[in-house]
Amino acid sequence: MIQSKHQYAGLAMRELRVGNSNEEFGLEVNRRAVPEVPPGETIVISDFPSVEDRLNELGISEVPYVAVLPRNFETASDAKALILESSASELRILGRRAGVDVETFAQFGAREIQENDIFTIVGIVWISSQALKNAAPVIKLLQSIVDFAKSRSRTRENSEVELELVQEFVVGNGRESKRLTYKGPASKLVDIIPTLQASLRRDEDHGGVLPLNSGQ
Amino acid sequence: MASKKRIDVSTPKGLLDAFEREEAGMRSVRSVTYDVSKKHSCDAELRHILNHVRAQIENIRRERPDEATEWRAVQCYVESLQHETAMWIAISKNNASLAWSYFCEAEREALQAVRHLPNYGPADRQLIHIREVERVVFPPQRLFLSSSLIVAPEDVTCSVCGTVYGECDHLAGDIYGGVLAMKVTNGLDAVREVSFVENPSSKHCRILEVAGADPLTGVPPKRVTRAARRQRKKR
Repeated sequence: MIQSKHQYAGLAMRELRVGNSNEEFGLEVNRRAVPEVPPGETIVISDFPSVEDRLNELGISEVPYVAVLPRNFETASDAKALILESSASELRILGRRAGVDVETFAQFGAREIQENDIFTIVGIVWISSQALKNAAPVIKLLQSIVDFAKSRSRTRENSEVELELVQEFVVGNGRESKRLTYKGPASKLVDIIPTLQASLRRDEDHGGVLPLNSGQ
Repeated sequence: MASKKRIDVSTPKGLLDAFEREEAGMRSVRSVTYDVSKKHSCDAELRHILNHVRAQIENIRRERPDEATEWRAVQCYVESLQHETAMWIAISKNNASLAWSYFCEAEREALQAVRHLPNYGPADRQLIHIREVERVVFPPQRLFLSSSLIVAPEDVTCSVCGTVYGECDHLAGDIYGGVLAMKVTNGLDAVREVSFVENPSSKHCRILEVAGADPLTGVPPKRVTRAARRQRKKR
């Protein structure tokens, strides 16, 4: 491992590390278990581990209402190893515009990954059961995320978008999280809004009981 | 552009209308004609217009930010035309590498123009045209390079206001008071990897030389000797 402090291509390289593996950086960024989206389909719903428990493991005591979860959220060893998609900052701005405070974990040492591929990974948006009590700003935020992703990929050929929504539901005395994965063209991303709205309505009908079944 | 007098450069709309009227003629001068001097004069004229547009933005961006934003969108379109002209000039000088760089810039600006000039036909047609140029003029490039960089969020600032990106309300890619918002990366924490991608966000990142056999086809590279290079230059 080389650790040096010098200028390269006009950028101040702080602790430039060149290693053979991601483990050397402490960045287990490839170990994210993204559910396979079957061909011809764009939306898949699956289970997601408890965000609260995972945050406790990472040493983060505050559970946010709405957050952008880092790409290695399920595998990172500590908060400083968390890696955010580069769109996390944009989601924070969109959240502020929609009246929702979006946590990005930057204050806990999470860093950002910048890649040169037109495949747009919007990120994993976590919506707590508390935030769902006042769903209007959350829906507004999701609508602006859809518009943002569409405007960014409108002029790109073969451009695909990946967005994951992790929704927390009250189940009896506890809580359970479900992951809604969208992978497909940005033009069809708007399909995610009715799916989410339907799940919210069903949540109300069931008096807070988990409405979505795994693999539905 | 043959008729200088007909161009109204006092308003963004006037300039866009003039470009729309001259669209076909300008395109033929840029891409079809063999007369390099015509391409050079077209390039000079576009640069002159660009200087005017930049000066307009600078003059009005504090008093009339909305109009400055309109001018900035026009700048994207004119820059695409100018980079494309420079690309054809580079091709006429057998400088393929420089031509590719100009092509990348022309495509990038055309994308911005399409985004910021909705319902302006010439911008849409320019993007289609520049993509056809890529397909017809340049050899197919199947793989580009993508660097994966780890940065601390506080090292990324906003090009409009200079604060940490995400703290302000400026979204990268949008225009605010004549300034195109961008994320400025001031430092790196780590370089994670360089990978091959089919659809890069920057086509500048490409493979310049293959040492040994092509890893995809197994075809060994054609060896170019110094003497052959010298002969090619003379030609």
